[in-house]
Amino acid sequence: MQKNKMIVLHVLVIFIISMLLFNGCGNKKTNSEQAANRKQLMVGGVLRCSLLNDPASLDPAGFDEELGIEVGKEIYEGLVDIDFTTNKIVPAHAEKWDNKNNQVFTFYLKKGAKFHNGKEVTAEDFMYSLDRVLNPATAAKVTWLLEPVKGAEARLSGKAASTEGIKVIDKYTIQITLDKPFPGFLSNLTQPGAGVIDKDTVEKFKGAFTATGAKPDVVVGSGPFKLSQWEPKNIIKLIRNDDYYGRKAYLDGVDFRIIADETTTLNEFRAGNLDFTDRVPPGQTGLVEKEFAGQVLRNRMWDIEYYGFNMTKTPFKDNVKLRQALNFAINREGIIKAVLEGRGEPAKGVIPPGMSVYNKDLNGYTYDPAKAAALLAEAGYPKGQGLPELKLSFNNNRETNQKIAEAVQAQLKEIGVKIKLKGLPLPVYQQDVGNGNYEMFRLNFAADTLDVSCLLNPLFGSKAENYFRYTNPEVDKLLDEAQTATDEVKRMQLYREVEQKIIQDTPAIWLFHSQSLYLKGKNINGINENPMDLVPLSSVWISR
Amino acid sequence: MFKYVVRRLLILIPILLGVALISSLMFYIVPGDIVRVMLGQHIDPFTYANVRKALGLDIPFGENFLGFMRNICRGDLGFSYIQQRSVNQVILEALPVTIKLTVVSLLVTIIVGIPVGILAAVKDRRAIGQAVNYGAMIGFSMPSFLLALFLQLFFGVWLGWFPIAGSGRGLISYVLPGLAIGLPSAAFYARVARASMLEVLTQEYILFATARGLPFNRVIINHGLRNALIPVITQIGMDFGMFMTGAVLTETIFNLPGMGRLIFSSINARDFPVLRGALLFSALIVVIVNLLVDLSYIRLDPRIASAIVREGSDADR
Amino acid sequence: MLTGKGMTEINKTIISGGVIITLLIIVAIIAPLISPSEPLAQNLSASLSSPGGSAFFGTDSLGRDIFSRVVYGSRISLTVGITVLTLTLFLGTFLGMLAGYFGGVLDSVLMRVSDVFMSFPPLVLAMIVMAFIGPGIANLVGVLVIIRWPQFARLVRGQVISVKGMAYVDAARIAGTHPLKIVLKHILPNCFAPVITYGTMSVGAIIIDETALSFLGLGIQPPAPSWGVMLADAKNYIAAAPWLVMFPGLAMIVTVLGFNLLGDGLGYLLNPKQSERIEVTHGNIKG
Repeated sequence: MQKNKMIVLHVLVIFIISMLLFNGCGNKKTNSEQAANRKQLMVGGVLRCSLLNDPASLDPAGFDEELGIEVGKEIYEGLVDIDFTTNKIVPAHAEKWDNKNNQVFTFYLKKGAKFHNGKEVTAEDFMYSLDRVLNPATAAKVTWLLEPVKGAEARLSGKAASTEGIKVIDKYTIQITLDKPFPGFLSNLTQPGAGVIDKDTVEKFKGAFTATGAKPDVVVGSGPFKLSQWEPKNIIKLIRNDDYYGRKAYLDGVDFRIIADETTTLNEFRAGNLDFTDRVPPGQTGLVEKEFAGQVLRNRMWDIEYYGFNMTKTPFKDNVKLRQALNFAINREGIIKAVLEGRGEPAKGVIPPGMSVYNKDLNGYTYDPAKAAALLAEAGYPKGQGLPELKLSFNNNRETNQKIAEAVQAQLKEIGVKIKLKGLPLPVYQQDVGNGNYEMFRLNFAADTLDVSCLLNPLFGSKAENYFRYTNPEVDKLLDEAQTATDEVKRMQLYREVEQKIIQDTPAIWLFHSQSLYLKGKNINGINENPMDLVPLSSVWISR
Repeated sequence: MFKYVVRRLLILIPILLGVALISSLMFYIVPGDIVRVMLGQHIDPFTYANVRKALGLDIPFGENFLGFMRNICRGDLGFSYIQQRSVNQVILEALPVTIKLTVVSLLVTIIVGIPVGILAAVKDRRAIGQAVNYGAMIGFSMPSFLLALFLQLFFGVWLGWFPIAGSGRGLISYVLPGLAIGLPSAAFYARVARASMLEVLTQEYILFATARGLPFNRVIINHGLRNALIPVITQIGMDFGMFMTGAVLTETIFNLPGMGRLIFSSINARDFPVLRGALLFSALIVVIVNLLVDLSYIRLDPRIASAIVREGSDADR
Repeated sequence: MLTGKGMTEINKTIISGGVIITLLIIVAIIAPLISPSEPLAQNLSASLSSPGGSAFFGTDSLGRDIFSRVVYGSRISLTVGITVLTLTLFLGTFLGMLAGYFGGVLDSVLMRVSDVFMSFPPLVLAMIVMAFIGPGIANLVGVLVIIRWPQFARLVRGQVISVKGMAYVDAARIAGTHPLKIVLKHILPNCFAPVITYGTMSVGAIIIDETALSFLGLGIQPPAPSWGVMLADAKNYIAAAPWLVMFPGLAMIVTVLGFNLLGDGLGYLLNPKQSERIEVTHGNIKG
């Protein structure tokens, strides 16, 4: 009996050990199977995010605001794109290109890339799309992207019927010539506004293409996602483009729900109805970071928030000491901590940290009330006496705008400067600014491309739509020089000089560079920091 | 009777005209250039001219208004240049949401308000009656948007029982907003019901019925309730119109894309055609519902019917 | 035997309402004395502190003391409430009197006009006008008067019509008394009771209207410490700082309750016949 038992025991042990061994081997063998399974798991699912409002339209020519860009960047594709891991320009529709002296760019398109309606994308389509932006009848808002192109001015003013600098060489080759060498031009072309559209569709549907709630057969792009539904004030649905010429998206689709309120958006995320949001309302940051530890990314943005002066009006006109005084009176850290919950960086100057041109040694502004008071006296208004009440206009659709304005009002009051707050709904605010009916105005300017010229030129060039009405021929000269300089180091020096001059002259109170918060669901992957807020959704995948 | 209905219908017209007139005046009194306010500063001259023409801003007001009225008779409430679609479409989208919300709110009001009011009346001398009465008073003093915020936080976020935004999850999305609107209203109606019930209960015929030996509860239900509820029901009926059209704050807080939020967002976006259409539509609903309530009122209570008809014929003089 | 309200009960209601309102008025008057800080004084480093210490009610995101703001806010609410009531009272009574006494075309026109005003969804008319003429306390008061006068006018008109038919008025008219004297001596006094009751309860509704408009950004403008403005501020911080909502909210509820109690009590007192009691609707209890 004992012996039998021993035998059984031995057999059992051997059996168990071999089972374990086999399992181990088995595991190794099916590792690749598991990897394949994981890859399969990666594909699929719908990402649910939200927008505060409907974009005015999904016409790339209108992409000067974040709503349109957020949706449009998935639907449309241009010649080149940005790889956000390296911050370099990479091929999109153009698989390679020649760059002669940063002035003549010849793009060789990938063959067989198709629009969402099946038609092939050719150089003709690009010619049409880009020329359309410069066509005055389009009233495009993104004309600045293509203004460096030769003949752009003539086209925009209606003198020419086509753009001289855009030439179709053959079916898959397009050549763009600029007026002057401009190394930052490729950056411009990465913008969704320079995406390619199908001429036949646009010509056929005209108004329907630019309308809110446009239909899927009208909104035709060539990007990794296509429009499947747009119900205004409710939802925009995108689905994966399975015929995409590049790496297909992992997601089956993306739902953009229109939720007009930041608090509601966050609550929806909490309730599990949204997978991603970058709308964390003030007051909730700390809570959110604790509640969703590991799911929150702080995203330093390449932008600058400021209160600009209308330089054509007294008392700002010709009184640089006053303008400087106001800058020293602001406690930026305090505001960032209290109102933005630490989500921001005080702005010493204009260029945000992170951009290659950023100058950490800039002689900029800090919180120095004593200096502010001294400068104010030198400006002719000791303790603010004699200074009329100044008006600050801003759009009040963002809660934080209101709070920041109130904080600035209180801080300026401490040195004796009284300002009156004029919070307006967005359309009215835009109208006032357009009419020049303002003394101080709030704006947040964000870098749209990698190149700093997209910040400095539109803001300070006297040709640009600069609301400060600021003209400084020295700055203009430097900007022009920097635009065309091909030596990287020289360019950086020039741009830094521009910034220093502007800071000296200071047509605005520079407040801060913002930090947005990316809040994603536990099973969402592929969302990384993105200073231009252009997270490519085709790289996002949902794990189970 | 028929004359009464016709007369009421005729009165409808000046009221609607008045609303249409005031809403149309909006286009002219807006500070600044209305087309630029609606469509932005940088629209091209083509679009600008077209929209101006379509809005009829360059022809005399009278002519423009008549044209608008003609369109209305054809059922066309206008075109939104900001959204690039017809106002009818916009309103039809918002309508179902508001209808659902109104129904839920009314249900809350009736289901909570009336029993509470009756309870308060019946137990008037007891502590519970007094407590309920004061409770209703407090409920009545609370604005619905405050209640909305609290409900949203407590039941939506902390407890997670109900959705807190959007109309996407079907009828359950309307629970919290319905409570936010319905509860203060229920408090109000509780008091009306209570007052009405109290009055009825002091009537002699009730005393008589109890003296005859009928159980008290039956007395209340058979005799008291019906009479007590008439004023309540008529008031609710008349407020149906108000429910439908006024829930701006609650819809905004809960992000329900109904008529209330439509009105608010079109004010903010300065989308005047939509605003005008929505206002007119709301007014129409209110007026029609009032009329229907009055008519059903007549059938419910013949005494009132004859009084109304008499009053109607008095007004002829 | 079931009874209606006994005198003691009416007194209880009036007294509780009266006490609340009196306290409120006192608080509003002595606001500077009882507030630890200026309502607009910011202290960024004390942002969002919870109640306790020197800040009984906590602070908001800009470090402003909530207690001080609530106290100063009572001034705004009371001022708006009483001003609007007074103006509406005069306007509504005057027009209602005209319509009721003279009847005829004047009456019809007035009734139609008030119908038009009343068929706008409550508050919407206020919102539209405020959106166009711009925010500010003067505009706000004007707008609130515009939306409230029809109800007063109707009330007064109803009273005038019922009194008009009474024998002694006929007698006075036959005797040749000047219409104005008839109105002032005979008719007006009969209107007092319902008007006062309705008026008192309206103040609560007016305060709610002002709060709602300020909440939407269309009334009192920040940084002024109107309770509506404070609630709008607080909306985003509900989870993180519930005291921002609680205190202005409670203040509002108590204030409105006070006026409602007073009005309710007065209603019973001045209108012993239950069937003649009038109930007030808020502009916005329907949403």
